[in-house]
This record gives sequence, structure tokens and C-alpha cells, in this order.
Amino acid sequence: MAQDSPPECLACHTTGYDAATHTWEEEGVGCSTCHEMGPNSTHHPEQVMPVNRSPEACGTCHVDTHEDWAMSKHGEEDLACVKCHNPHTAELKKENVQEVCIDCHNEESYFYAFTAHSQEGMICTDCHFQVSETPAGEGHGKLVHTFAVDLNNCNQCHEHQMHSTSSDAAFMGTMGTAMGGAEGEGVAGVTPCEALDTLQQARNDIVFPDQIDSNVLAPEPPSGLAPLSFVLPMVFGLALGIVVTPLAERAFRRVQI
Amino acid sequence: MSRQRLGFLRNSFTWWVAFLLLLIVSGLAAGILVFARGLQVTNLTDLVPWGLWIGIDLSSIALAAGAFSISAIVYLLKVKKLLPVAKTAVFLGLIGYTMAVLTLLLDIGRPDRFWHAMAYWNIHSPLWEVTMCVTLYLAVLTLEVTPIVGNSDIMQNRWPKMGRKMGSVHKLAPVLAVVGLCLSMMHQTSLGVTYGVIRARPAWDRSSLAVLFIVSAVAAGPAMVIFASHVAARMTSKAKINQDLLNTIAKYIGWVLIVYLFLRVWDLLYLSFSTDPGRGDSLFYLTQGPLAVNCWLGEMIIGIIIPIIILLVPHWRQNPRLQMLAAAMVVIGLILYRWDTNMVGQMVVFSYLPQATTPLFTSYLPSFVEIAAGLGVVAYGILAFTLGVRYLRVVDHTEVHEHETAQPMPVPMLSGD
Amino acid sequence: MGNQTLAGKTMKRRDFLKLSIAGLATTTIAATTMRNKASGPVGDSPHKWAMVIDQSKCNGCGYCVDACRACNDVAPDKAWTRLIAQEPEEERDVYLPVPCMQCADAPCVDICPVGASYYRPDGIVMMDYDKCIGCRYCELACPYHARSFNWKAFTEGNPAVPDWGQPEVARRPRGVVEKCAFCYQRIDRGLAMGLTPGVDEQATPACVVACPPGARVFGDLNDPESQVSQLLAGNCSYRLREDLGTEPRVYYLPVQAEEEAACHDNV
Repeated sequence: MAQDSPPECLACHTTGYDAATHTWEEEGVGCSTCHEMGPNSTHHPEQVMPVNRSPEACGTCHVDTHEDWAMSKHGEEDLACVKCHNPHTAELKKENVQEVCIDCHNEESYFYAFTAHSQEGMICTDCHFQVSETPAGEGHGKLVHTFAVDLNNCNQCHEHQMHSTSSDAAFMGTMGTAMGGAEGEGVAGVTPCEALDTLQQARNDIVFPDQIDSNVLAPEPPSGLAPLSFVLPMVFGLALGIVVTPLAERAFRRVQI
Repeated sequence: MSRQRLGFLRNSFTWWVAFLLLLIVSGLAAGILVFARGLQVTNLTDLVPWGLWIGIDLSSIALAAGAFSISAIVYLLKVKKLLPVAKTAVFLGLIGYTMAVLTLLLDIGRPDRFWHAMAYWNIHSPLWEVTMCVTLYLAVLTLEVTPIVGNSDIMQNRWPKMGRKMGSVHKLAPVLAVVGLCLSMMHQTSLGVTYGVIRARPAWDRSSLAVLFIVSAVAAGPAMVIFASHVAARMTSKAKINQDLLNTIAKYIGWVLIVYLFLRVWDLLYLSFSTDPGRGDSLFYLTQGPLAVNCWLGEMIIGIIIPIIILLVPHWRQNPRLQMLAAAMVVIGLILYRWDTNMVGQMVVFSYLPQATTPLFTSYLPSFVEIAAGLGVVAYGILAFTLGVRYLRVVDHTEVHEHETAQPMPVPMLSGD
Repeated sequence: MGNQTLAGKTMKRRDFLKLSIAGLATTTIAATTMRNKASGPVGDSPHKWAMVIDQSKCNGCGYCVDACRACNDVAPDKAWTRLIAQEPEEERDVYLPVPCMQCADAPCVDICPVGASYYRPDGIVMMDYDKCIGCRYCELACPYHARSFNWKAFTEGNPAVPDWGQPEVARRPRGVVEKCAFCYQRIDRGLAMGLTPGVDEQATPACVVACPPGARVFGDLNDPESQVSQLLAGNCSYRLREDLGTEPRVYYLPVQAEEEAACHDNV
């Protein structure tokens, strides 16, 4: 880093930063932020490196996000950051954020699929995951982890309907850019099935009682004959032939002569 | 006339061997595929882990039971006149057990670790006990077959000293008969126990399977001997049978079948008196579902009832063709019994979910590789018997053993029709 | 021809004795070795691990399955812990996560011909993948479908890695049966570091750590202060197929705690 880097940045982006002496050991976010160097780690690799997976450890740098999270229901239930995020890449453990919501909030997603919001093509994060007002804030928290929905979320689209007395209040216009897509246009005409598909992408680990080991089980025994039912008549025929043929031959010879 | 006939036989013999070799080679190819790519080439799944090969394995072990039962009759009950039949039985026994070992080698996921059961013991496991007994019994059978090979024309003509040494192993016969009886009783019942201890599957969870397996084996093993002897006598003049000896065994089979019928009916009734839903579903699957034809027509009528009638009416029992037919029917009934037992426990899928009362069913059909490999093993068995009849005279009731029989008796020969 | 037919033969006493001794010896040997219960875990360990799964919290997200796949290097077409969707109750979905039950009286341990399945003193039913011959008898015997066979070799990369964790045990070869082992590698490692399994994440099975709503709880039944002990003491719980007598080590807290039926032995 350049010599004139502000100390507020260095505190997170180096390892072993000492504010008093303005020195540090490693640039970039070092491993020791979470894997504390200490007496327990000196015998690595014979012993496993200790690790701190608590939200507080993440929160020393991701301050805003941690504060948001602590205020949210997730924070109350102590849903740690590492449950959804890969601690090394900070990315989500699933393909996209929508899947992560659906994994736990499956029931809500099922009912949501039939709503008008869903038919407009909106998904959970359009309302529940706002872009932060301070994009380059401390800890660089870009998306607000309170998951809360307040009036500002509604006003993203319905602002012109606020306090409106005309019958047009019922008319659904979408004039916001909250969806991040084309301005002013909603993605209309999404059917509940399509919405459900979008919402249900990640739920492929669940086994329903009639589908174990990817072998489809049936509530009725399969109709049709058992495998050996064809062999049996053949063998029976063979045995019968062994008995009957000489008799027939003898009879034939008798007739001939 | 005989030269003509021999010429005709030589031709068909060639074709017969060629046909069997074709099956064996394709089975070999299938087996190599299984070793190379693993059991994914089968239609076995985690729900149906035991399929066609286990069915062949069970059937061949049961049909090889003629060896120990007839040997026991000859050497322990001193019915010496049945000695030639014991020779056939013992040879068939060795074939059956080698077939079983081949199918098992195909079936286990790690064939390279086949020796583990002998190195690592789990004395509580029925399958371990079966493996150990089968291994030891294979040794017993090898010793019992050694004199047959030793006394054959080939050995006597080319390596007479070795032939005599091999022939002298016959002195061990009574000891081997006792050991074979013990080992066979243990593992034939344990094969039933293998299924019977599975608490998880109500179709199997009962102790009567052990008894049913041994009784059915004791009925069908000698039946296999009778059937094979008749077929050999019809196919080639090198095989000579004494109808009286076979009549004796046929009557014995008839009585065993009556006991077996009684036990089977009892077992089916026992299954019906149960509030366990899994057991009821299994019974339904077996008696009214896809296995119904196998069970009623195959196992009961063809496998037990008709043979009982034929084998216990003296006039019919002594008719060679009817006797052969009855023996074949008993063999078919046994094969179906083993197959149905193996299948019914796996087709009805038990549930571990709380308050689950509706049954679920799955299905299984062997894949082409399984069928090819299985046919290959069966063809090997048939070929081994063919060669035994032709070169080792395993079906030869005219043979008079110097050590054993008291006086030679005029023996009526069966002439081919 | 009279005196040599089977039916008419009078057996000599010697022959009868021979036959009886053979039969008796057979039965004795069979009876004494064929006790079909291997002894349960021998109490050499101070721990008795158990898992409690709260069905009222489980929302069916499946993160436990993914984390297990990553930490134990399980192929994507297998699942050591399975997630079953049950019938919805009172308008909410009900899920049943099913790991290996680690039975105290395990059918799989009794019947394995080579003893590849064995008890650890702390109650975990272990698999010795070097002994297993792949006969699949344990798959037949397990009442909970907990075991899966490697029909083919798993040679590709594991899609669950690295998002859900890193493999901590060796990958199993083709032809052996594998199953959940309560992440014994994490437990042993954690105990060596002085951590407490069930409390410290590094010493706790991966599925328990990964569960977002905290539906899975792991701990030591021998410790009355552990969370599992307290949950079981204070709540109505049930186990799967208790009627089979397998004594599973995984307990379930039903969705509706007031339902009396769920507390007793289930059907």
C-alpha cells in the first residue's frame, strides 16, 4: 500500500496492524484475523489451527453489516454469518441470494409465488435486501443486512400512490428503479409456476418419502408378471417335451409301421 | 449301430460344448466388465442390494445338498448300494459350490478382499459362518471328488501311480461324510438365518427360515442328482443308471417333501397372523402380488404338490420319465423359493418414519450384464457335469467298487429310447 | 431285493450314534456361535454421544446435507444424512433429518461377516473401510437406510467443497459401504485440543454446525449439564423404530410438543 494510506483502512487490510507504531506484518486481510496466532497454533500442522467463526470476528471489519445484522431477527436468533457465507471468499454458499432465502423460508416463498408482486417478477431481495445509503462506508457494507422492509421499500414503486385519493390508487404502476432493471417497466406476466420455479431452485436435497436413493418407489406393487414368470413356462415346456417327445415318437413309429 | 450312434453323439457333443463355451465366454466378458467398472453395471441399488447373483448362489448351494445327504445315507446309515449315486452327488456338489463361489466373487464389491472373511472373524454374523463353512466344505468336497478323478480312465492310463494315490483318498470317505454333514447342516441353516435375523424386514424376520432352507435343500439336492442322472443317461451311453437306486432316493425325496409342505403351509399361515403392516404387505406381495405365480404355481404346485403325488405313488415313481419330471419340478420349485425369499424382503420397502402405515414397493430386473454373467456361471456348471459324465464316469451305476460292495448283483440297465 | 433298501433297514446302534453325535455337535456349535447379538459398546469411554433434532426448528434448508458432503467427501448422489419431507402438520411443513442412528444395539454390527462395522466405546458405530468386502449385508440389515454402497468410484471434484467445508476424511474407494460416523474425526480432534463437542464448533459434527436455525444439538449424554441431556430431560422426545430394539442415539423433539402420541413408542 502507499505510504499515505489512511489508518482507518489499514486497520482492516493488514495483519497485525499496530496503530501506535503504524506498522503491520501482512498486507491484504490476513488469515490471522480469524485464525488467531497464539500458543495453540504454534504446533500447527500437528494440531489444527484454531478458528474464530463468530459474527463478532467478522464484525470487527464489517462494522455496518454486523450492526444491521445484530438488529435484525437473524441476529436475535444468532444466525451466524458463516451459515450463509463462505468465510474465505465472503461469497454466499449458494448460486444467488434468492436461493439462500428460499432454503430456510420455503413456506413464505410458496405462498409468495401466488401474489401480484411475484407476478411482476419481483423476488425476495427486491424489498428485503436494500442497497445501503452509504456505499463506501466503513466495512464496505453495500447491502443492508437488517432484511427489514419499511415505507421506503414500498415507495420505491408506489410513491405516487401515497396519500392519493383518486380511484387510480388501485392501479399498480411501477415507476421506480428499485428492481435494477429497465426503468419504469415491471416484468409483468410471471405465472405462479414460473415464480415457484425461480424460488425453488435450490431445494434439491429434500427427499420425499416415495423418492429415496433416487429410486422411485410406488405405493402399489408393479403390475405385470414377475421376472421368472416367463422362464417358468419355458422350463415347464422343456420338461414336458422331454417326456412327451419319445412317447410321440414311439406312437408315430407305430402308426408308420 | 453303435458306431453310427457314437458318430452322431460326437457331433452333437461338439455343438453342445461349443454352445456352453459361448455362454461361458460371454459370462467371462461380463465378469471382466464387472471387475473393471464396478457394480454400477448391474441394476442393483441401495434398496435392492441382492439380486440375480445371490439367487444363483443360494440355489446352487441348495442344489448341491445332495452331496452331504446321500453321502450321509451311504456312509453313516451304511446303505452301501447307493454308493454310485453318492459319486454323482458329490461331483454335483463340488460343481454347485464352485458355482456359488464364482457368483459371490462377482457379487461382492471388493473381490480382491474375498479372503477377509477368513482373516477377520465376526462369530456373531450368519454370513461369516456361511463363508467359513462353505470354504471348509469346498475342501471336503474336493477330497471327496479326488478319488473320482483318480479312478478315471485318463488317470489310470496316463498317471497310474498318481491315480492310485488319489483313489486311496476314498478311505477318508466316512470321516468326510461326517464332517460334510456337520458343515452342511450348519451353513444350509445359516443361509436361512442370514435372512431370518433381519429385524428390519418383516418379510424375513422369523426363525422358521432356517428350518425351511435346510428341509428344502435336503429335498432338492437329491432331486438334482436324480434329474442330472436321468438327463445324462438319455444324452449319452457313457452314463448308465440303475433305476432301483434312483427309486430308493425318489421315495425318500417324496417323504421329505411332505414334511416341507407342512412347514411351508405353517409358515405362510404364520405370516398371515400378524398385525405388523410390513409383514402383511410382504405376504400380499408374495401370494397375491407380482410373485403370486412364482409362489403358488411354481413353488407350491409344481415344486411340492405334484412331485409328492408322483414320487409317492409307486407305479409313477418307478416310471423313469415321470421320475425325471418330478425331480426337475422339485429343482424348479427350490430355485423359485430362494428367488422369492430374496426378492420379497427387498421389494417391500419398510419405513422408519413415525406413523407410516402405507407400504411402498420397488422393483428389480437384472441387467444384461447380470444375466450374462449368471448364465456364464450356470453354463460352467453344466459343462463341468458334461465333462464329468463323459470322462470321469460320474454317472455310472454299474461300477463295482472293490473295497465296498459285498456281492455283485445283476443290475438292470436303462436302454435309451 | 430285501436287506439293503433304505426303508426296511434296521440301523445299527453304532450308526445311529454316529448320526446323533454329528447332529448334536452341529447344533451345539451353531447355537453357541450364532448368538446374533454382538456385545454393545463396552464402557471404556467417559462419553456417550447423542444427537437431538428439534423438528419444530428444522425448516428443511438442507445445509446439514451439504456440510456433511463437504466435510466427509461424500459424492453428490449420496447423502450420509438424509432430509425427509413429512406430511405437513397444522399448516406448517415438517422435515425429518435422518443421520445414522449410531444404534447401541446395531443390526449392522451384528451381521457384518468381516467385522468392518464395529462399536467405539463412546457409542459411535464405526466403519473400517479397509476391511469391508462390499457384500452389502449391512444395507439389508439397517432399518434406517443409513448406509450407501459405492457402486462406482467417486473420482470427480466434490461440488460441496469449498463452500460448505473441506474434506476431513479419506475418500472411500469403489465397492465399500459407507455411512455417517458422527464426524468422529472432529470429535477426536476437538477433544485433543481441549474443546467440548457440542459446544465448540470445531469439535462438533458438521451437520450440527451448519444448521442455521440450530435444530440439531450434539453432546454427551453422560454429562447432565450438556444441552442434549437437558433437552431430553425437559422435553418430550421420540426415536425412530424403537420397537425394533436398536436403541438409536438420535432423538427427535416433535413439532407439536403437546402431542402425547409422539412421546410414546411410535408405530
